[in-house]
Amino acid sequence: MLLITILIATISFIYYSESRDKIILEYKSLMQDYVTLHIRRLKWLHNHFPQYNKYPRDNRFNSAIYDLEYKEIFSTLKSKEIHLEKSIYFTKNYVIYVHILGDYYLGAKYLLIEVPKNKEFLKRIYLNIVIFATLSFIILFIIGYYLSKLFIKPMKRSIELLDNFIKDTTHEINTPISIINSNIEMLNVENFSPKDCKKLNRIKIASRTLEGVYKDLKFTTLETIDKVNRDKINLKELIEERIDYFSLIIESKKITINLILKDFYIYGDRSLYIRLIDNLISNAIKYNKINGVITIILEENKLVIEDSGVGIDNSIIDKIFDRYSRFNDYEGGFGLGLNIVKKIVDYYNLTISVESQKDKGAKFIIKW
Amino acid sequence: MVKKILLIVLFSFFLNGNFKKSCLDCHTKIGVNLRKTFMNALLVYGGEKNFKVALFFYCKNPTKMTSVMSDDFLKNYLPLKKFIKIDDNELKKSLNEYWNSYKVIGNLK
Repeated sequence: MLLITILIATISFIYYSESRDKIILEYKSLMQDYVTLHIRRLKWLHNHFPQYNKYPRDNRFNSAIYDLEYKEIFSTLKSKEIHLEKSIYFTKNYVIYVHILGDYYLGAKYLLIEVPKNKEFLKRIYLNIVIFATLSFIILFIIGYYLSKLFIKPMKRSIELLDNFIKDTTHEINTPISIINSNIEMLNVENFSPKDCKKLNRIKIASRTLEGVYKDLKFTTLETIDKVNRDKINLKELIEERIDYFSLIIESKKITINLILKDFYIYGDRSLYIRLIDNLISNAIKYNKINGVITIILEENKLVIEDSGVGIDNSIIDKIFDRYSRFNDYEGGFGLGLNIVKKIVDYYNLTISVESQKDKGAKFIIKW
Repeated sequence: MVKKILLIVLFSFFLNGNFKKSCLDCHTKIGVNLRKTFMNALLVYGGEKNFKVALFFYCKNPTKMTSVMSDDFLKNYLPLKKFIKIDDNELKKSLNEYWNSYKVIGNLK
């Protein structure tokens, strides 16, 4: 947009300068004729002064004579502005041409010829500039719009493809996950050796991770926040429940959980708040170090989830809530989690802020 | 009122050089029109200051080179012109009077 404006302004300026030069040339040509005529009259008066002392006048122009010390000898000019150093200049209503005399008739070195300014000509230039600028702006805007659409099209197509792929995949993974989870629950663990128990735990962790991914994908692609319940939720209990849900993964990474939770009740859709808390906790686990720490503080109107993980680079901290945005490339994921969190936060008019230092961890603060 | 007029007359006498005695009488006697010399000088020198400085220089060094008059005029009159034996201040005053007597500024309608 700025480039278009600069381009139009430059072309308009060049056109204005060219037109102005053309006008000046036309004025100069006309006024030089008047100068020749007036010099002859001054010469005659010089030779017949003081028998004749009437300064020559002409209906077509006004004139003035100044001596070399810039003193006015005589003037019929209407303009008050006098610039003897210029060859031609414009005042509000007049054009004034300054001619330097070779012979100082009547003691005059400077002869000024004044004619009324042709305002119509200038108006026409301004009108042409306005028409040109408007048309150019419209044409360039249309071209720019078309080109931008042309360039954005492949990107939009990629996003559509990704969305469609995720939708299809989401449908397909629901049934296998349900089967895995239900069968894990039906297993008789008592007959298992400690080694097999460990293996079963790993399967449970993997299955829950998969379940989390499925829920995020489902939320992003298949659900909209339209029909929501209004449940009374004890947030403290909900957080403890979700920590329990992630307990196997937490244990596997040997993460210490610090819970500083006060009772805090809110009204909202339980499943939405589960998605919100699950995503923040799962990120805190996912990006944490082995033997790391997660601190969750719940106060009235404030929830803080802090981890001791890899942290977020300051250069991308503004973009972490964008869809398909990921903290780094070595941890997997679709980059949907924080986008879901943001959607829910926005829906309930909450605020979310992030404090992070690279390699020291990240702290998410939600306020009601 | 009478006092004022008297003062003006006295003041002008004091300011004026002896233009009539130093210049006009002699030029009239030899038939040189001072109006014509004035207009010729004005044509060349333009402004008041320039005019006076140039004529002062000419009066002190009257040669064909420094004159504004035509060669024919000089052929007849220059031999008659003697070097002016006049005090510088007196000459300046006379030139002021000369300018004021024949100037164009203020005399055009």
